[in-house]
Amino acid sequence: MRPSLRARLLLFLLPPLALIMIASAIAQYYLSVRPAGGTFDQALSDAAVALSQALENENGRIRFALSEETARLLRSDSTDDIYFAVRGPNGELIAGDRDLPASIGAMPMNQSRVYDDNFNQQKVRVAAISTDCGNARCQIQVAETLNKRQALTNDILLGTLMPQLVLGCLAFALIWLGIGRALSPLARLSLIIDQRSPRDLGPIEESATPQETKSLVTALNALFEKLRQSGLAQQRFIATAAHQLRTPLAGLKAEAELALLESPLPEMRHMLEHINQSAARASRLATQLLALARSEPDAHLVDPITTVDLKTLVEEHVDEWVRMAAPKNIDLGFELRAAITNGKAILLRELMRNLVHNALEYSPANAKVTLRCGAIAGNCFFEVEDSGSGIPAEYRQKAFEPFFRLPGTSGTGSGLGLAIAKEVTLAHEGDIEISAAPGGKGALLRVSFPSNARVN
Amino acid sequence: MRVLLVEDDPTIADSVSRALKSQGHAVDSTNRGEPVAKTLERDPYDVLILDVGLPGIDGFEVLRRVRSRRIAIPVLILTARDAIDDRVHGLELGADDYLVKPFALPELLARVQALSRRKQSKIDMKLIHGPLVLNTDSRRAWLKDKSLELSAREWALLEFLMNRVEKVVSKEQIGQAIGGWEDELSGNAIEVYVSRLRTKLDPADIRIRTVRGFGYMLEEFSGAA
Repeated sequence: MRPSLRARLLLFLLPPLALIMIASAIAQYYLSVRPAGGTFDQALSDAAVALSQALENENGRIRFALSEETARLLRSDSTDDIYFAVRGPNGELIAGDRDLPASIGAMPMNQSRVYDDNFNQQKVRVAAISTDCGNARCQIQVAETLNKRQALTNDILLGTLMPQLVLGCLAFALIWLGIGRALSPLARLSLIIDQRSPRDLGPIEESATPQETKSLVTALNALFEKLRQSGLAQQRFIATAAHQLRTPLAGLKAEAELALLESPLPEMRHMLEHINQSAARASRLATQLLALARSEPDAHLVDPITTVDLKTLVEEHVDEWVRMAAPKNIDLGFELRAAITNGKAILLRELMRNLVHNALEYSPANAKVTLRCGAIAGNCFFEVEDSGSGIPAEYRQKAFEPFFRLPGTSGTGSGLGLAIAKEVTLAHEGDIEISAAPGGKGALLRVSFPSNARVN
Repeated sequence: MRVLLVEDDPTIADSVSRALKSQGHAVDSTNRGEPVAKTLERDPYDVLILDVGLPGIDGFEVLRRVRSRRIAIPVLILTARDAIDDRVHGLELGADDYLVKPFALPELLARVQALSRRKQSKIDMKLIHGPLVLNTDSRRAWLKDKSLELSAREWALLEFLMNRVEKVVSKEQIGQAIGGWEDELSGNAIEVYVSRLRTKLDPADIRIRTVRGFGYMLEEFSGAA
């Protein structure tokens, strides 16, 4: 299990707290139960002293003159049974209960002693006193059962321990809450990190985080910066490589085309056409890699973010796309309305170009392809609908993976088109989805952006 | 026709100039932009092909210097950058057309041809598209050497399209161009004129392509000459 900061704090705080509570409970018990018990002992001693008054010595004969009334009074106790025994100098019973055990050991004169004993299989408290009866020493014992003492103990326990327990629970709850509160900056920090887009490698704002997490945030920011730098370096490399690739490819293509223009041999022409097509594909791939590098976060250092009307972007390409559609006699249609968003025009063009190229590339001859753009409820959209064979539902997610190809299709595409479209869409906080064309035949690719997209 | 090619990549410069030569054009090639304006003042060229990414001063600067000396040569810009802003920038500076690298050599040849034809038609007052000839001076049209009757609106539409071969034009553009300020033509009216033109031009294999929801494009003439 992961070590929890909360658990560790509780472990440090709770045992000492529990020890303190237990110690305090014990102290409370001794401080309140003993004195209370002492009061009852005193009453018991007083009863013994009172009984000693009833001893009389008449000419050497010891008499215990206890009136019935006094005896009744003595025994009248609502909660406890009272017993007593009066014994002569030789331990003979003069009055009272015979079986009450005599006290053991020497007793000082006229001083009572209180002790615990057993009588009739009950625990009793006994007060014993030695008293002078003529020339002899008599012993008087008064015993009572422990009921009212027990009741008092129970009362005291309830009265002191219950508040103690409630206090303990309260303290526990307060500690729990307090730890939670104290740890909440950490929770907030993890929430901030959780909610970051993986494309966002900017520093966490230190002012928004508490003092205690400052060093953590600083370390995180340093890591983010390193990641960002290495990302930037990689991006620059791809961009430069793609750019550098295109010039020689253009040369290769031009050379092949020139040879095509000049060569009369049919077999030669065939080969040259293949060289030409390969060069065209390679240079398209270079363009796409460049676009991928550009759609990475932090690429805004390279490309400016402006207000863009998707309609204008489409209109810029109408020539190009109509010419592309012509060889297969594809009926290319436009339904364009203003669709204004924030973004990088270069990337949005590449996005559209990829979607349209795909539709034109994979549609059969005489197919129908329709491009639409517009704005609905704060979102603007661009969509491409074709009347081709469509994309089966099970491939609609996979289609956005780089180098994915629908099984059974053959095209000259790199397989990067939709991956780029997705990257660019994400960079513009948009959504891209594939569905079946409303006409029932073909695919519909739809990209939508919030009109106030926060591009990164 | 005499072409000045300004391109610093030797492979591209070589293949482009060889291709142009194979079409019977005279080509001079340079890899620096600085002397271009002076060269053009001294020697008469018909077309300038200008690469944007040059060592030293770039293609845009060359174009600015050429135009500031009031040299009215047709200019075709070549750009390796795929930023359309480059193209727009070039066109604003007075370029007549642009091509993005890597381009198809036949397309470059066609564009150069079109540029020189445009220049020629300004001198001859003639627009030529395969078997179709419009004399803008006498306002008469011929198809396969036969006189072609056109209404004023049909004439305006055809002239507009012939100046933009292989370029898609929107209905709005057509409406503004041939309708004038007072009565901008409705989409339906334009469809009617296009359909009438098609009826007249179809026998000569001249095709006006419909771009659904957008406009029209006069296709490059490819029928048997």
